Amino acid sequence: MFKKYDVIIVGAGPAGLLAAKAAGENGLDVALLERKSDPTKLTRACGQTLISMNEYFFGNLGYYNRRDKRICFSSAGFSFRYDGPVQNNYNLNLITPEGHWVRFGDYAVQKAKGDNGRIGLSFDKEALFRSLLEECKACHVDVFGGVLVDKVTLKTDRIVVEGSGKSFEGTYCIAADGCNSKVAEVMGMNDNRYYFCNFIGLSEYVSGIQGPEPDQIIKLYAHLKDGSPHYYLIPLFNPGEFNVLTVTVDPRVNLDNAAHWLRQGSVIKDWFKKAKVTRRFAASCACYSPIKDAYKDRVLITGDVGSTQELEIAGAMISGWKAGQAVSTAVRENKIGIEVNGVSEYTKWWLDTYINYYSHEAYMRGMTLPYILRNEEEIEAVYGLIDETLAPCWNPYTGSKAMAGAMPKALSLLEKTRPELVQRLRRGREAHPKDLLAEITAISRPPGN
Amino acid sequence: MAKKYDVIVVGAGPAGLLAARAAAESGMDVALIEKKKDPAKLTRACGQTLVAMNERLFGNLCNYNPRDKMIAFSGDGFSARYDGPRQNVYAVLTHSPDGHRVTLGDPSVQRQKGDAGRVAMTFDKEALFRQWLDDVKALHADVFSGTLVEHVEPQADRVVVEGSGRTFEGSYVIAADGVNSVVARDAGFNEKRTYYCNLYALAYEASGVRPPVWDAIVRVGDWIEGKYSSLFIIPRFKEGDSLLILITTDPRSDLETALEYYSTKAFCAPWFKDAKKVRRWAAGASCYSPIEEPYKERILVIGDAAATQELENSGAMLSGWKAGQAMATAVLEGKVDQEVRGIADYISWWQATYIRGVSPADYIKSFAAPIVFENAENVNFFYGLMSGTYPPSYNPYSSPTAAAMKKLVPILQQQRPDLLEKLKKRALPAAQLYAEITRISKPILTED
Repeated sequence: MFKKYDVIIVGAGPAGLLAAKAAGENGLDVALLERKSDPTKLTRACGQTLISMNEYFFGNLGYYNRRDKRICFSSAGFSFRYDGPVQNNYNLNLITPEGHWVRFGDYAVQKAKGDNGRIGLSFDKEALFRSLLEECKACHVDVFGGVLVDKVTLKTDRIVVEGSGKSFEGTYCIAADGCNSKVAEVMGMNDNRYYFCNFIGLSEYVSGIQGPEPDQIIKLYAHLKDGSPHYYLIPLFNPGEFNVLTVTVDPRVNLDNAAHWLRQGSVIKDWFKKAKVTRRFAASCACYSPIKDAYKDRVLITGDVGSTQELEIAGAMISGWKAGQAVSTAVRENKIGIEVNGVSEYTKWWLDTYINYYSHEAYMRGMTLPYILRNEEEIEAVYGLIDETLAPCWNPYTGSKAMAGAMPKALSLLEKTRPELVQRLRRGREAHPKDLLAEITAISRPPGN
Repeated sequence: MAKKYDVIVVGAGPAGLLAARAAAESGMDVALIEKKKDPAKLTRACGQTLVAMNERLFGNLCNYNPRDKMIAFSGDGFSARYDGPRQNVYAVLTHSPDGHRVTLGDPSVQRQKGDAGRVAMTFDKEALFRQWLDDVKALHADVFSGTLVEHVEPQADRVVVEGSGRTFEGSYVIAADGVNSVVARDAGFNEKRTYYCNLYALAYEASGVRPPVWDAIVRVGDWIEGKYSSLFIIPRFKEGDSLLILITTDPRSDLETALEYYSTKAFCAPWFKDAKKVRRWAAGASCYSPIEEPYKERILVIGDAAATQELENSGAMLSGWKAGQAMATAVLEGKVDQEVRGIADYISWWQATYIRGVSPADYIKSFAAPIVFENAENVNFFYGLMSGTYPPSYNPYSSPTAAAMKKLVPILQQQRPDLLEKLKKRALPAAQLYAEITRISKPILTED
């Protein structure tokens, strides 16, 4: 006979690991199922940054306690060990096709503040996986690698989770299997979601980059023959070493060619003269409108499963922790025989903190720029006008606010010379992102379909 | 020049230790200041019990995870290790002076459910102190023992804390110095509070105690030489080992005499035939209305220091953890130039969870039996009608007998209208109910 777990957690990413740790600390019997045979190995492209370290995000001011090597969320009231490498990110710089820098935060000013001036923090996700898995095992979580869950069956008093020839039974299930969640799909939780597109990306660790400061983030837009990628250079841990992300929502873009263009054809190509690619990852994320009700038939969803593309790593961590605690409360309430409130407290938190607080439309709007400014000349025409330093910001929900301060001046200059751009920028702010992305949606299909 | 701390925590009890741990985990420079020379030593009477483990209290269903040896609060999402001895408590047995019994929870039914059937769990507070001190030291908090804080001086950007010839400076102070908090008094937090009385306690660790149910909380109450006191028998970690705690709000009561009476003359005397005293503690607690606004001038008052007598160990732990995190949030907000809301979040939690979430006045009224009943014969009569078994509960804020008491009204109306009148006194405001006791009491300023 099977062991019946209190909770089966599907997916050992940041959300699943923290859900497992929370439930394990509360004494629950926890099974943590991971598709990868080695759960500590990173196999998908990821920015590997804690964003928004200088602003509230998901109700918390994320913080890294260097002294005790802990990632902390003091408003949610928890922290956990991370002793891998870290790198502060002090500002974000958008570089136009002709090489003009639009700065979110003054690098020197932010850097002088040290940890208090960082807008983001790069970390090593594999080191994070290792230390969180250790913490999970220390509280007796059973970890099963190499299990791809593709079937979930509700029984009266339990849920059966199956995949890769294995079967698990639990009182509850926490779906933490990411933005292309199989659990959400088989549970029918995607049925009422609006599908936008896929966000596809290539991550390359590149060393020997000469040009930017070792602790600033660089962003570029491009318009290539097959479509429009954009790029992030996110600092890694040695000078000149960056995580170079080539991303797009356009399925026609060849990411290898796009990555090659950055090194050979872009305005920053000289930075790459001595560059060497040491590691590569790819990823594709389905972007849907979010799942509003985070619970159905003994399954709680957490992290990217229920979000538009992603919650950022901080959001995944906080929602995973909350879900693990919520299930712990619910299991205890069941055992004692009192009214079960744990689950509804989590669904309420999900609604308040994510669905009602953040605009998933604003998040998706952040991906629409290439369909508003349709070539490099137009990008230059607008962003080339912004000379002032904008507020330090590395947050997909407030980034546009930082930009908004500079836009009226740019728009008034453009009003006479380029009225069509002003028109389009206005539409970009006002139209629903599903309309802005309509041409992309038409040629996209969610993974698995 | 003195080091300036982010947070100075005054008092290393359950609230202060968790406040220090939470703040230190979040990267704060923390000083934890404790009056006792050996912070791990228990010097005051305490029930050493986690109450209300089968129902929510302060928003949490407190749990003990025996596999990983953690005390866990899943409502607020944190846990703290504890690997000392423990004992589940399955029922509460309360007795009238002549031995009539009201039982909350059928011990055999509850015992069968194991951990899911416990109403409370006893623990060893010294083991808890030791571990939590280790935890905060591992997180680089500076622990200063043998330091009785006598004065706090708020300044524009800091607070200066003075005591036992030492001076400390911190951005914020968390006052976790307990029910007779010197910091709360010195900083003026007590001025708006209503003083009710003192609660005096005498505790003995004893062996060879044989109450009718050993793994239950067993209570007896009586008037001895005209002064009321009650005795709690709390199981320790092996059958026969108990904590005997005598309490009274009457300053004229002699608790040693009371214990002598209970153990040699009262109906329960046979329980103590083979009893031996092992260790003794005493305590006195000033009981005030709670502090509704626990923050001003960089000082946050938490735990029992802000409560009516006490928050129970679990409430102290919760408020400590919350306060430590709130302070860390406030410090971080200051550092990254964000609007400071960490402390406001704590205050709204405190008010929602404690001030409005439970009734602190009901808590103090739970000690009012002698004022309401006036004499033993009235209690005997009432318990005679009430005796029986009710839902399992050990929670000062819930009353599982309320429905049964309501049903008694017509009977009392008929047989003892005078007693029914007396029972109505429970509806009086606490200050009025305790007026006589208040008149002959005065707040405890220093102990030891």
